[in-house]
Amino acid sequence: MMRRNDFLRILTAGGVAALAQPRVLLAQPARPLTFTSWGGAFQEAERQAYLSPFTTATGIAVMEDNYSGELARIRSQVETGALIWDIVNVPGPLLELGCEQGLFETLDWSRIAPTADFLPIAVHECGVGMNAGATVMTYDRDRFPNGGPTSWADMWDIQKFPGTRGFRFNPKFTLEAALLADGVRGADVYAVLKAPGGVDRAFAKLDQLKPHIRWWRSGAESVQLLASGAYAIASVFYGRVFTLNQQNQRNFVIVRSAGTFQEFSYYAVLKGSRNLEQAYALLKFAAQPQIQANYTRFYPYGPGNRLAYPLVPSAQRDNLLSPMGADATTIFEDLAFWVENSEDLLRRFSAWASR
Amino acid sequence: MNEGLSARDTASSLQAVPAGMLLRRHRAVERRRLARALGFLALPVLFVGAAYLLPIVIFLAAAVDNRPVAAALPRLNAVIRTIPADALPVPEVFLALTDDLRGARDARRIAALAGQLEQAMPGMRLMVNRAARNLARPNEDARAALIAADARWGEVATWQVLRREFAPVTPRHLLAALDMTRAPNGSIAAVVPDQRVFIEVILRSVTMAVQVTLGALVLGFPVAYLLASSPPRRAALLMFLVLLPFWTSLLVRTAAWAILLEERGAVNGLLMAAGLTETPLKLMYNRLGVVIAMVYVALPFMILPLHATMKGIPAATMRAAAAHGATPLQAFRLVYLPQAMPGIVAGSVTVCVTTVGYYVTPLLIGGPGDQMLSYFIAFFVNGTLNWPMAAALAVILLVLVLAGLALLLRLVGLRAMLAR
Repeated sequence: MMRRNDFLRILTAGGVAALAQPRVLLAQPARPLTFTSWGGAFQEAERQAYLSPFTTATGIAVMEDNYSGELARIRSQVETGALIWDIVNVPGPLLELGCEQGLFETLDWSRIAPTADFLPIAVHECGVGMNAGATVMTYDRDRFPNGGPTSWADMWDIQKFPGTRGFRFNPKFTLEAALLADGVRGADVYAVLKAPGGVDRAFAKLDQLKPHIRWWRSGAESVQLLASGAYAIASVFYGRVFTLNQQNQRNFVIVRSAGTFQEFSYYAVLKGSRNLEQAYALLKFAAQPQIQANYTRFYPYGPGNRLAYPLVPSAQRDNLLSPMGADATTIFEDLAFWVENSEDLLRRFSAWASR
Repeated sequence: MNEGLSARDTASSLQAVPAGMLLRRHRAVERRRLARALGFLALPVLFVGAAYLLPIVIFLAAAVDNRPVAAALPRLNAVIRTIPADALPVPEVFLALTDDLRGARDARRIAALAGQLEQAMPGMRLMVNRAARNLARPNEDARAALIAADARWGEVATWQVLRREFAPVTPRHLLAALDMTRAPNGSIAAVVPDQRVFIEVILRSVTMAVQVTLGALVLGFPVAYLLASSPPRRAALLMFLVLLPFWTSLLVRTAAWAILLEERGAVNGLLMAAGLTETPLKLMYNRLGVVIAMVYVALPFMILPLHATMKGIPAATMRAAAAHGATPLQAFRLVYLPQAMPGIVAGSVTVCVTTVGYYVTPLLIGGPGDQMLSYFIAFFVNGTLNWPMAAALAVILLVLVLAGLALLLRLVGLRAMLAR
């Protein structure tokens, strides 16, 4: 039988041991692999094409969250070591900046896919380029039955096409659109932006339209404002308006010929993720050609894996926007420009908008 | 009754002990009582100090704390005093900067450093980032590599700014919060027009607070009067209605206003159905909508102090004024209003001081041009992780609030406030 002294001694020893290892006391239940993307129809497509089949195939559960591209939300997690996300879908400049700042794991591509299979733009030391992305001009055909706007200059023409304008509350692709409206050729947009006075010129052009602009902050918000008729003409993510047309039998015209802005979306893993193995498993699964091709059934963005393109169902092929199908109307994001200037331009943009 | 008891005690002890001793004993009792009172207060005071005041002070101190820059550039810090005021530094200084930047790059701290220095001199972020991407290798010329990365590293002004930026305390965030900056020669000047934003936001915050205060006063005064002059049962019901909003989340109430004010919302629906307007009025995403919603939120804070004052105004004073031949308007202006003034001032200052820091309502109802100071504090805390800038704006907000309170004390008087 245990004597009272022994009992106390064991209790004390246990207490001291527990105090010496605060982690034991504070140990949290393991958080499942958490995937964060941009919400709405965009994330729904990722769920259908990547996450659900992945869980079915591997038994690994995936938790989800969404954000709107705020680097600060990633930085605060990594810097405090309190990670609530593992994989996050980031655009190019964010990937580059985050990688430079040590916010993302350096990836071992041999555990994911042969880099030669992927488009050059889709291969990055900190991210796997899963799919293209695009921003387009759109309007409701029912609103302008006698012919709607055909160029970004028309978007600035309030007399001819009255009504509220929609833009993302972000300088990216907004400054570019302003320059196109100001008569700059698509191929010259970034040369003008990089030249002295180029950014001023874009802001000056935006000044003209400012009273008519209502900004949207998340893709889901842009769709809601389009659907409710709040916007006469808007600059929105291509996939959002495409799925709005398909799922709600709406008649939004996508003015690709006015000039379409393309970028690429990457999956990056937060530095210090405790679910690194599962994260690699998901990256490897989603990078497969067949899975990548299957994604196009849910969303009209071209995959990063080159081998997926021949497998894309023919019904989807014409709707797809990707670097593979780039033409004269495509303006591809200048990564170097946005990596170098995104923070300063975001600050200037916010100051300008709040005046 | 209590007084009588203690008087008798005092009387009996007066006979027993000499006067000097009595006074001492009395003082001792008083001291003990004070000590006990302070003992009871100690815990709350400690709690407020540790959990409320200390974090505020620490956060606000970030507005002027400049140690992060010196800590990120230790080698440059050691030689910074050798830089001449009117010429380029010696090559060793370029080398020290290169080594520091390499260290910061490897520690992945370039972005934070570049952000800090950007506020010391616009363009510095780009210069630091470019330099960090094109650092000289050990056997290369550090000075040439820096200037090749960005020509501004070869300008005297850059080094003048850097030299200044190693002081442990810096005014630059507070200056930036007032749209000002220090020129390379140290003089203070306004920033270029396209970067000015905060002065306008400060003025906007104050203007909106005053507008909301006036709106709440106009709407709240009759309600408070009705409350004060109603029979108790009706007054209780009215008071319940005034307090009802406190039991609903601010977010929910603001969202409800969004539904009412939307372009195709309830208000416009009614107006158009009644034929009062053909095209929907713009009630949301502009100043009008924000002020309407904010007046609604602020109303109880106006009504309660007004009601407290009005309840103390004897109805007989108005009757007396009438008996002396005053018209109702004269009686109101000359008799009622002066007596209600403490409540008007207290309510107005309370509303004004709370309104100047509003965040949720302008965010949900307003456009980018209707955002107040709190929006930018949140922007710097969550959006760009620029805490020093957030702290500097918080200092300004705090100064505005304290100025409002000082005005209150000046107008009403501390004693009148405490007596109430």
